Amino acid sequence: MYHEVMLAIALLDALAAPLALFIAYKVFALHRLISSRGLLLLGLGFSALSAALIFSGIAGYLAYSEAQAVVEPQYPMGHGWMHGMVHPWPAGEESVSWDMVSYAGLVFPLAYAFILAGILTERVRVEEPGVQGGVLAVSATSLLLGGDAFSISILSMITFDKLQYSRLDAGTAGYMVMLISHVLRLLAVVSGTAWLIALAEALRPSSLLAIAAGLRGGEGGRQG
Amino acid sequence: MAGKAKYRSQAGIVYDILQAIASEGRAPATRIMYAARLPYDRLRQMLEHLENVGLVSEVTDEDRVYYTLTQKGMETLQELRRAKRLLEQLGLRF
Repeated sequence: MYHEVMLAIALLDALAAPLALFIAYKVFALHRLISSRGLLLLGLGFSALSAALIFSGIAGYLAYSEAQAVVEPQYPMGHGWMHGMVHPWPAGEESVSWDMVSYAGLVFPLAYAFILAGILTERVRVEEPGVQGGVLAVSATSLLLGGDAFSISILSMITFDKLQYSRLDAGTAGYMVMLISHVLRLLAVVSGTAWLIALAEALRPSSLLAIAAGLRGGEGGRQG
Repeated sequence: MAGKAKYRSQAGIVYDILQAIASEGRAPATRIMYAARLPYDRLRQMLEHLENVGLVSEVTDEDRVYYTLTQKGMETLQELRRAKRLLEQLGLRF
């Protein structure tokens, strides 16, 4: 079961990484035309997100290769056998794929930080001067936990900011799914629950697919 | 003057300015100001920036100053129309 899920995660990441790169490309193209620092940061954020998804995809694939088959006697007398696969990440650094997960854990919050910086830099207050603020500080017990905690903080800010402005659209849903995936992975790593890790890893690339689904309508909005 | 404060994205403001000029062919600053919903000082800053990056140009006709789109400005407007929905989805305010 885990075997297939891990492979699916790697495939989802492989699908989401070029999507993030495509978004970065579109944003960079606009930055080149209107020379906006906010768009530059946003483009860098999605480039970093693409890199993080690649790391995550490789980690997922390595985990898939590493997953150990467990074959145990089902009854005390040895009648019948129970088969199962074990996700390697609860074993922590004993797993080869752990390095890759750690890299991804570092790059994801960096990517989100760039995206948040891009959104805030792009933002202009028209008419009255205002006050903005609010930084969440989260302690980290490891690189991975720290990365997830940082990701959760940044994504919370992005989601909160976006919900203040717009209704619950596909983009907001995408950010929320990203946020939930990091919360789940944090819980999963703390509790060592393998299926929760798998669920969290599968959710994250799906968030970009949600954003992509929101673009189906093509051009929208007010015209002149 | 001190109306309701609103956050908008730089890209959204550029889009509104280019759109305002494009709909008129050539437009004076006051017309752009109302169409783009911007205070005058902010509009001046933006128009200066857009002139510097080659998206709009200033023309004077009978002592009145108008703004027109350059070729690059028209291409940028097309590109922004295409990307508007994506940018909104990503969290930029139009």
